Amino acid sequence: MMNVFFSIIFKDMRVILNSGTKVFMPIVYLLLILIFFSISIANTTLGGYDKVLPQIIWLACLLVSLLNMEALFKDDFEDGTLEGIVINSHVLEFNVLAKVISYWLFTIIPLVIIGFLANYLLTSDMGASIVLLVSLLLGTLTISLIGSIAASLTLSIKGNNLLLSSIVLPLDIPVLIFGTSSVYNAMSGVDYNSELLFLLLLLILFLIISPFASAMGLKNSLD
Amino acid sequence: MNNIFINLENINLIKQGKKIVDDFSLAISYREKINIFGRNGTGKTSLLKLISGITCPSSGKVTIDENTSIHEDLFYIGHKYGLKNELSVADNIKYTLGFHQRNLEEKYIIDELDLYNIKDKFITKVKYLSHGQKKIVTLVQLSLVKNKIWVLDEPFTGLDQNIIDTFIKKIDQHIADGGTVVITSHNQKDKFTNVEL
Repeated sequence: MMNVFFSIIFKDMRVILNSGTKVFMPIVYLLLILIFFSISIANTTLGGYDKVLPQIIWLACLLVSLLNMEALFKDDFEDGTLEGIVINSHVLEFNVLAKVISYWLFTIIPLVIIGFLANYLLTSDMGASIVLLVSLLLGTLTISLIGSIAASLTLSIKGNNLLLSSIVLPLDIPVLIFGTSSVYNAMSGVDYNSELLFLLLLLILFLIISPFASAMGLKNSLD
Repeated sequence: MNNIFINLENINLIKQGKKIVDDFSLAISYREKINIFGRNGTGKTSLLKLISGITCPSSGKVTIDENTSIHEDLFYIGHKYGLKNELSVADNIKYTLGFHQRNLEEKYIIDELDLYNIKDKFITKVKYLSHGQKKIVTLVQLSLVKNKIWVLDEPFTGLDQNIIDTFIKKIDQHIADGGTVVITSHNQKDKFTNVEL
C-alpha cells in the first residue's frame, strides 16, 4: 500500500517538474502580489511595510494556493487517471491523501520557502521569519486538506474556481487567524507556542476528516 | 455456468431524472468475452462504469464473486486514456505498472510496444503521439498489468485493421489464460458474445 502511495507522489513530481510552469507560476504570482501590496499601501499611515509584511505574505500564500486548488484533481479528472485511481485503489482515502501531499510538496512548499526568504530579506528578523515558515508549513497543509474536499465536490462543474474559493475561504479563517497572530506575536516578542499548537491541532483534525470527505466527493463527481 | 464473477440483477439506473438502464440482468463468468451493444445513448458506458464500481445502480443488485476483487482484478479503459501528456510513453507505462504493484523489466515493455509497431516511441512524450497511438499505449498497459477482468469502452475506434487483429489475438490469449473481457463496440461483433442493451 505504501508503494502505491509513493508511486502517486513520484508520478505527480515528474509531471510537475516536466511541465515547469506549474512550479514557477505560483512563485511569480506570490511575488507580484507582494509588489502590488507594497505599491498600494505606500502612501498610507500604516507606518512601515515591514510591520505588515508577514501578514501580507500569509494572505498571499493562502490566495495563491486557493487559485491553484482547482488543479489538485482537475488534470487527473480530465485525462482519465482519476478513474483508474478510484477503481484500482484498495483504500481510496489513502491515495487521495497522497494526491494532497504531492500537491502540497511540489506546489505550495516552493511558495512557502519564497515567502520565508522574502520576509527575511525585507525585515531581517530571523526569529519571526522562522515562525512564519513554521506557521505557513502547518497552515498551508491544512488549507490544502480543506481545499481537497471542495475540489473533489466541484470537480465535475466547469469554471468552478470561484465556487471552490467561496466554499474554502470561510473554512480557512481559523487557520489564517492563528497563522498571522503567531507571526505577530513573534515579532512583538510575545509567546507564540499556543498559536502554533492550535495550527497543529487544526492540521490533525483535517488530516482525519479530509481524506474521507474527499474520497466520497470524488466518487460522486465521477458518477 | 458457475465461476460467475459478477452478477447484475434487475439493474435500474436513473440519471438526472432519466432512466438510462432499465431492468437489465447479466451474469458474466470467467473465460467469457462479452460485447455490450446498443444504439447511441442507451447507457453502454454507464453499464461499464457500473461493472467497474464507479457508479452505483439506482435499484437492483450487483453481486461480485468473493474470490474476485474489483480493485485488484479489474482494468478499465474509458474514453479518456489516463495518460500524462508531460511524461514519456515509458514513464507512463512504468507508473501505471507501479500503481498496480507490478514489476517488469524494460525489455518486456519494449517487446509489447513492438507488437503494435510503436517501439520507436518508447521515450517520446505522450503529447506528441497521435490519437490512435495513445490508445495503443493504453492497450499495452492493459496487457502488461495482466489484471483478470478487462472492461473496455469502444476499444477499436481509431485503430487500423492490423492493430485490431493484433489486439484481438491478445484478447483470445487473455481468455485462454482464464480472464474475462467486457467491451462495447459497434464493429467486430462476430468475435464476441453479444448482449443487446
